[in-house]
Order: sequence, then structure tokens, then C-alpha cells
Amino acid sequence: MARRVKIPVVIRDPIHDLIRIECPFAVEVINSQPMQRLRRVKHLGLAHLVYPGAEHSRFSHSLGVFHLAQLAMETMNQNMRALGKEGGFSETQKTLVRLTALLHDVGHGPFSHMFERVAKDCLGKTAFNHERWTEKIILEHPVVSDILNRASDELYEGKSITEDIRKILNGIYKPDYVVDLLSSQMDVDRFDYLLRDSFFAGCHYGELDYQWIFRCMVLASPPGRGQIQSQNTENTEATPANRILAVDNLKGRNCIEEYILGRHFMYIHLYYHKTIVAAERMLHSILKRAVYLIKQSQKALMEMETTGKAVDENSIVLHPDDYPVLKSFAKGENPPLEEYLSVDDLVVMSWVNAWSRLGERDHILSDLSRRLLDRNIFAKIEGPQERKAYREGYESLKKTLVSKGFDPEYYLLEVELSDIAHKDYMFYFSRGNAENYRDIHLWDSRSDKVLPLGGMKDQSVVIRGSAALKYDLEAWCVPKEIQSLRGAEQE
Amino acid sequence: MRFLDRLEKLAGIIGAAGGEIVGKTKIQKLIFLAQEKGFYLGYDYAYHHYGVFSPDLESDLRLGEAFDFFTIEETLGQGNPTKTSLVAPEEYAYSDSDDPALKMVRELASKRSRVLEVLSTMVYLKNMRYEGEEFENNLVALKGHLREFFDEARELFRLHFAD
Repeated sequence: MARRVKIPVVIRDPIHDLIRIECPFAVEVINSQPMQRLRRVKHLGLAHLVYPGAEHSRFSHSLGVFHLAQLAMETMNQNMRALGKEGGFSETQKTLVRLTALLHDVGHGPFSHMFERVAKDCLGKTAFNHERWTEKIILEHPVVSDILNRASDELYEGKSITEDIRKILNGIYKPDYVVDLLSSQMDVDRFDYLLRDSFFAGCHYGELDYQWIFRCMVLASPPGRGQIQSQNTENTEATPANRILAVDNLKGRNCIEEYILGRHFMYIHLYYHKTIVAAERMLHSILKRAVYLIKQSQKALMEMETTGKAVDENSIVLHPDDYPVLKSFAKGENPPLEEYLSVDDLVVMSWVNAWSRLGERDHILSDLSRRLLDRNIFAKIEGPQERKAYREGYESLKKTLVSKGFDPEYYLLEVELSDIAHKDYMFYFSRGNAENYRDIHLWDSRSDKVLPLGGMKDQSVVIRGSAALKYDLEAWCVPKEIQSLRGAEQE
Repeated sequence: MRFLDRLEKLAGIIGAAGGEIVGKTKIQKLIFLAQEKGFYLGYDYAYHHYGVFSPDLESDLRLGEAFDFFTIEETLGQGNPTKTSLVAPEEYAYSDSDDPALKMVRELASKRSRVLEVLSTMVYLKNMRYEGEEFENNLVALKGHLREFFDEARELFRLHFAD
């Protein structure tokens, strides 16, 4: 039986001040176990090893996305009214967006993308990513699915809000502007994470004037489809499916330029910081080793079962039953939902802590764990941007590692990072098909026309240059002693 | 060496497609379909306005060119790139491979991008576990403007992706 909730609920937030929640179902979602788990999943993984303040969680980020989505919808509807244009976000769309905003990250595993990579290593194409886990939670978690079913009956005209959340998460919901608001090159998810990560990390590149951007946002027809469309009635579901979000070119373009540059600098200085990336790769290596050991234990236990012989204790370094999620990975399966939800950053770090004391029972796992706990992070060696030299460099590093007693499988970590400031989908634009690209769109209020940002290069040096603002890095991470050794050899 | 191995496999797919793929949109769809058929390269795909798209693959196309696995040739028209060709040297062609995914790529490479756009959308919807009327409704909602390509795409879907 659902608990009665008092509304409104007002939450203090350092980024957005007061976050007001008036939807009782949203409050119930927030109180559910899968959402509460996000308090224990850091938004920036191991970034606190470089930026000590970056300890904030996916929970506070989810609340921030909820708040910004709410604010964006209200402001856009006001803008449309002020322009004398009918249409905007309907009440049912608002409910849908609010709940999707809250739940958009609920499927993240511990250390987010790193954990996904471990799953992918073990399971290949069949590995669930966080979007797939989110889907499973909204469909199968007894509490969350029940909340959404009741929300469907009471606020969603009996249609399935769960199904529509699923469509948004998979990018196939229509109208497009609903997806655009939550997942595009200029969405409320990015706005909140840039603001929040800037604040907590203390590197302020990501601060952006989102309130002014919302003030300049309208719902418009895509380029080539004519003008902002008016509708017969406001807040109905009869909105044209092809409408998209666009920002007033004259008033809002500079804020967009600032946002593009800010995001790019955040990638360079925070998301792709060499030490943070190396630490995450180390944790990846640790979990990879743990899965390997669990596999070995499974084999030994199975042998014991079939032969009836007593098991050699030394062959069971990690007992599979102590790590149900990793046991599933070792068996080549996605774990059951309940088990997946039982792990978070704290659980993983408690494993690492325990493993650091394994000593010679497994030197590799013990050593890697100790290094991570002591912030003895691997050092970066940039890989040459030439195929032959890259291969030779890799092989030479491998030899050095082996000669010093390190297993390259766990001590030679490859890193490839890539970001581009603005993905110019004009690049994909051919044959004049307006459906054929997704970009940030600008609206010219005088002509009532919309153009993708990539098509405004003649008007802005920032936009012209943004497609060339790239960050590509191919590197290897190795223990510091190996890096210094190589440095000495080269001298 | 997974990074270079992956780029080499990518060049191999271009090779399997006859050494050249015209259109970056087309390569996005072809790699998606090859992965779905079992030639897995590790790219995550999301659905955009024009169909399935992988930002990681987009980055790899840039890196693949930088590391000389293939070349990207652009033909400019009216100030914007209108045609992009990916050309891989013969050494990477899996021309004699019996891998069903590569055989399929060979066949699909000659199809129009629009057909692949519809086909990849069908596979995407299948992955979302849609079937019957729901499958059809979603297909029309997403790709109704490409209805003229439905029959051809359906036949390819039946051949390569039906259970």
C-alpha cells in the first residue's frame, strides 16, 4: 500500500536554491529504494581524487534535472503565450517529463560508466547499459512500477506513463521536443551536470546562463517546415510530432556559445582529467581481476562438486557467493535486478578495501587495490598518433612491464578519449530532409525561421570554430615507477 | 591493443562493403546492423531523429582516419558537405570471410541509405521488444515519411533479423 505523501515538498539545493515538488508521485519516486540508492552513487566517480569537493551524488543531480525540466517547461509555455503562439507542454506531458527527469539516471551502477565497461568486458553485446537497467527498474521494480501505474491512472488519462518514459529513454517518443528537453545536445541533464559539477569540483567553466536560455526558448517547426506552428487549443496532445526546441537567435545565441565553450572546457579539465581517467581505469582493472578470480573459484568449486574431493583453499581467493553481481558477470549473465540494485559506490569501495589486504593470496588484486586507496594513481604516457609507432610503443611498454614483474593485462591500461565541442549535424544533412539531423536550433524571430546551429557559421566565430574544437587523446596508463623508468631510458 | 584492433575491424567492415561506403549516415546504420548480426565492436547506439546513431563510432571515424585505417573524402556542395565517402585499403577487406554479419554488410552496402534507416529502426524496435501492432505503430510514428522503403526493408529484416 502506497504511503500518503504531503505536498508540496521543498528541498534545499546549493545549485538551484529551493526545489519544489508538487506531484505526489514524484515524491513517492524520490522515496523509493532505487532512487535512494543514487545517494550512494557519486556523479563524478573518482573525480574527488583530484577535486576533493566533487563528492556529490546522482541523487542530487536527478533532483536538479527535475527542477530544470519543470522550470524550462513553465518558461517555454510563458514564452509561447507572450509571442501569441498557442501550444506548449500539456499537463500530461509535464507529468511525463517530471517523472522521466527524476528517473533518467536510476539505472546507473556504481561508478557509472566504469561499471558498464566491466559488464561489457564480461558479457559483450548482451551487457545491459544503464538505460536498460533504468527500463528494468521502471518495468519490474515492485515499488517503482506500482507508483508509475497509479500515476498513469490518475494523471495520465489511463495511458501507460511507463511505456512513454521507456520511449523517451530510447529516444523514440514523439513529439521530439519532449525528448530534446531531456536528451539532446542542449538538454536539462547537461545543464544540471555542468552547473553542479562546476560548483562541487570548484572549476567554474560549466557555469551557464540557463535561465536566460529558457527565457529565449520556443517550440518550433524544424528547418524547412515553415514557421512556428499555432494550434487550435492549448495544452492538448495534438501537438505536431515534428516540433523541436529552438532558442531565439538574437537574444540567446551568445548564451549558447558560452554553453558550448564551457562544456568543452569541462571535458578537458574535469571529465577527461588524466588522473581521474587513470584512477577509473585502475578500478576497472581491479574489478576485471576480481571477476577472473571468481571464475577460477567457480571452476574449483565445480570440480569439488563433481569429484567429491576437498577443495584447495588457496584456489578460492574470492568466494562467488560473497559477490553475487560479479558472480553473474563471471557466469556471462546480467545479474538479477535485486542484486544489481544492492551494489553502489560504497559497496565497491568496501570490496577494494578488503582486497587491499589480500597480500600474496592474490598479489595483483591486492596491489592494485592498495594503490587506488592510497591514491598512488597510474601515470599517463601519451601514445603516438601514428599506427606503427603506436603498436611499437605498446609492445615496448608491455616488455618493460613484464621485465619488472607486472602483468600487462592489469597494469597496461589503454585510454582513448574524444570530445568535440559541438556536433555539427549539418554534416549529416543531405537531400534537404529536415528529419535527418539533431542539433541545437536557433529561431529568427523576425522571419520566424529555424536553423540548426551548424548552419549559422557565417554569423558566429564561436559556432564556426566549435566543430573544430576537438579533444582527442590516445594514451596508456602504467604504474608511476614504470613511467619514470621509461623517462630515464629515454634520457 | 583493443583500440587499434577495433579500428582495424572498422576498416574491415568498410572493406567488406566493397572498400567504400558513401555517406556517414550509411556507415552508422551498417555498423549497427553488423553488430546486431554478431560482429560486435562495442559501440552503444541511441536513437536520433534520423535513426540509430553512435557518438563513439563518430569519434572512431575521426581516429580511424588519423591512424590511417581509412580515408574520409568529402565532396562539398553549396557551402556544406553533401557527400562523405569512407575508403579503406584492400588489405583490410574481409572479402572472403564467411562471417554472416560481413556477408550481410556486403549485401546491404549497395542499398539506399533510406532503406537502411528503416531497417535499422525495425531492428531497434525489435530490441525494444515491440511486436505486432505496437511494432507497426512505432515504425510509422518514427519513419512514416519513408513508407515507400518499408517493403524492401521488411524483406531484408525477414532475411537477416527475424527469429
